[in-house]
Amino acid sequence: MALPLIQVKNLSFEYAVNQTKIPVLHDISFEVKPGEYVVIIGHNGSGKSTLSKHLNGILTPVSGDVVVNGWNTKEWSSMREIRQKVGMVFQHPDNQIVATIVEDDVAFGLENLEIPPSEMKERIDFALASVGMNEFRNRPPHYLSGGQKQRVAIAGVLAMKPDCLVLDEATSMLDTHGRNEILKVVRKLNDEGMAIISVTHHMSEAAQASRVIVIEKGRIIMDGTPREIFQQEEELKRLHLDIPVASQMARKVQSHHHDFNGTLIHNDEIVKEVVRLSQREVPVI
Amino acid sequence: MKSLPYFNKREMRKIAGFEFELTRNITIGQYVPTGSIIHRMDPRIKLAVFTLLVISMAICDTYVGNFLALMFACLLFYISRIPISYGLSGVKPAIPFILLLALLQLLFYSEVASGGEVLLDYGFIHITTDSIRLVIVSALRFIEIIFISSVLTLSTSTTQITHGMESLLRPLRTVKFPVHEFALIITIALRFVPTFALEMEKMMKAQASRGAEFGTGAWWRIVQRTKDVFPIIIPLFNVAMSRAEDLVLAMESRCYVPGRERSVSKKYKPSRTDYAALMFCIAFAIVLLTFPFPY
Amino acid sequence: MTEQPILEVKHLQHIYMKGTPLEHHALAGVSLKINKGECIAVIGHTGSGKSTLIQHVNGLMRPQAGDVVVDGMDLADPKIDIRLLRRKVGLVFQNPEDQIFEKIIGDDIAYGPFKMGLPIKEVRDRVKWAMELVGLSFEEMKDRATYALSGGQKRKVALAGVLALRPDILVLDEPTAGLDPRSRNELLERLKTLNKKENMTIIFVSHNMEEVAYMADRIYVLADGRNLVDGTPEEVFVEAEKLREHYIGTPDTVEILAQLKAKGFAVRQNAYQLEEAANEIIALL
Repeated sequence: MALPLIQVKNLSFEYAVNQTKIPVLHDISFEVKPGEYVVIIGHNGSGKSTLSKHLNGILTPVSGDVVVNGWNTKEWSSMREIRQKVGMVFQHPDNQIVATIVEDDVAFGLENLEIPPSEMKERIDFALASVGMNEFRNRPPHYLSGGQKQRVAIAGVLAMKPDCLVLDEATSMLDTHGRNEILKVVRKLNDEGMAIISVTHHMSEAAQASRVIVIEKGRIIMDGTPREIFQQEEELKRLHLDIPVASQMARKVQSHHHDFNGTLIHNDEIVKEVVRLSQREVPVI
Repeated sequence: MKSLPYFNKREMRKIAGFEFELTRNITIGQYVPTGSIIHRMDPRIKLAVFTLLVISMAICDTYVGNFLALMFACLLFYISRIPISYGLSGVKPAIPFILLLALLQLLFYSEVASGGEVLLDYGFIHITTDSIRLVIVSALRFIEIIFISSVLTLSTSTTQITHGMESLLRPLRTVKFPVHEFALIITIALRFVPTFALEMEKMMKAQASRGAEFGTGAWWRIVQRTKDVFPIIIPLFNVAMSRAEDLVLAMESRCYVPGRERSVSKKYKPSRTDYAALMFCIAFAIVLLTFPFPY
Repeated sequence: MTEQPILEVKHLQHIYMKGTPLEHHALAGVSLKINKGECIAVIGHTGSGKSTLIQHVNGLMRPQAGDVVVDGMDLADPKIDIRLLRRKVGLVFQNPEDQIFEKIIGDDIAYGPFKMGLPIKEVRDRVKWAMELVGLSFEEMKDRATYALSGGQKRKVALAGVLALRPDILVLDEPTAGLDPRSRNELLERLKTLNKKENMTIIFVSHNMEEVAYMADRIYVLADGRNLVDGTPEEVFVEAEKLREHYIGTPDTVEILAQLKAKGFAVRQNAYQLEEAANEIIALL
């Protein structure tokens, strides 16, 4: 059994605004194992972004602990190691690119880690290649589309060789094409063994994860595989969360046709199920 | 912005779209990667050469010298494989300045440039061959300097400029000047110029859609005209603040700690060509400054 | 139809930075014809020209070539009253909450009507009308501070600020971008009510195909500054292949049906409503 990469233990957090304390997170506990793909779903204001900022020590718990690879985020001395292990990509593509040229932006984190220049080139090449942005390396960022900028931001994190990539609503400002570009990159990274934690309100992203955590009002209220979560249609509707079209469709078809598998969540699963059932039922001539 | 009755329909089509897109029509400061020999120069040498050329152009006051300098500036466009139209579009917005300067010099600089033959003497206006020369040489200087600055910025990424500046300023570290932080701040500032230009354009359009008007009304109604700008400035400021907050988070997440030692991603090593270019430009500057040109 | 269209665009062209080396054709001949009371979606990949197009509708840009006629006003004519035009056409930009500049909600919404020089009583009525339309209680919210609002509520305030001009045509650029599902669904309902009850003509740009399918009476698809396809959602979604070529997705329902069709099943590919699509599948089994 692999050791957990990130352990969140009884995490509670509150913001203090003019002496009044606004509680945001209540007693949250979960673990993320190496190579896992976790999606954290919740509405704006549910505390999901606050939670994600605890994962690399940008925020530290008011009570409870977050432990990354054995280092507690409360210990300032290991902050550099924590942030190197857990890379983070944020919502606004424009607000996280530091340099005026793609390549130099990817180098930013490496400069901070004091990586010798001789090793940098190789790491930059590797990072840009894994997000498919090699041909853009000499471009200024403002000539890139939103999806391309986010890929640069991911490359900037990858160059630091993290074990876990946290996406804090990284696709919410992108169009469908840009979002799909990012999801493809993320899936590839996960296949190669990188742990992914994606904070989002897009259910379609949840379908490709290995695990979904739903938070509402600062508490974890659901935790399971996408298939398990999407079966709880009533609960999701109560929370005003979307259910993937494939899942809704599977359940509709199932209500008329009991052999049809109602737990499907992907478009191509529906197609396969139709093929399976029709092959069985079409009489052989 | 009420209506634009001074244009006819055909002229209207020509200016269509320019009302709010002033920021996009600036070519100076845009990097054009062509991979030429000038692009590949060591940025430190390039900056040093640029400074040297600007100084010598500013001092040289002969027709021939400035003509040579102008030719040299054009030659730089050719070598850098950047269309000279970029340089011209940089000159275009400066034309009113150049003309105004020329007029002022012609009318009021006769005291300074009193030498030479008197061409016109009417009331307070004294025009001499020297003041004519001053006017023409200043205009040429303007154009030369715009041209070489264009070549510099079009052929050098802002990162290279800041890296170059950083290493040229390195000696200042001995007096505890935070050279690295300074360079980083400049990089970030340059990085956000196009972003804010677009933001401002969008904000102007959005408020104009709600009926805002900018730069209209009589000039003495200063209070009103200042107030007209609030709907742009306040949101722009808010956006800038939230961008700054995001940027800090993103930088910290990538292990940035202010004041701590960082490695430099690019080590520049001047090549033979760099030294050759430097030597050539020193020679050229000396010629411009000291050669007794006849005109 | 004998009725005069409220907006007619004919062969519209626009070139950015004309005459410079960075010249860029944003529109290369786009035509639209929109009748009063319609709800129209404009879709297209980044760079297809959709943003440039909608900025022509309220005269922020004037036609360089081609015609734009809004309710009898020819935009190529320099003598038209631009202020009247901007009152007729309300334009809501992407992330409109950024443009809020007053401290108090009511003041910000009143900005437009004040600029129109309306008497204070009329301004107040309009603010009230606009606030109720977007679902903000006038009495409760008008004196609240703008900075303390959530993202979804800020967007409502910004929308009310444009509605207070009482436009005949409402043009929105990505109205739901960045909103969570709860706020998104609420906003879409509000827009639908505006369209159906107030008979306001709505033109919106979107990349969310589920949203387009739900809202639009007709769709215009742009690609590379030209019309690609237009028509009712049924007519447009039949062209799924063509759309995909131009990086435009289709709703998941259409996606699933298209895959089934490719496998040789006899389904109507354009049954884009969930119910209809499920019925297509049920009929197969």
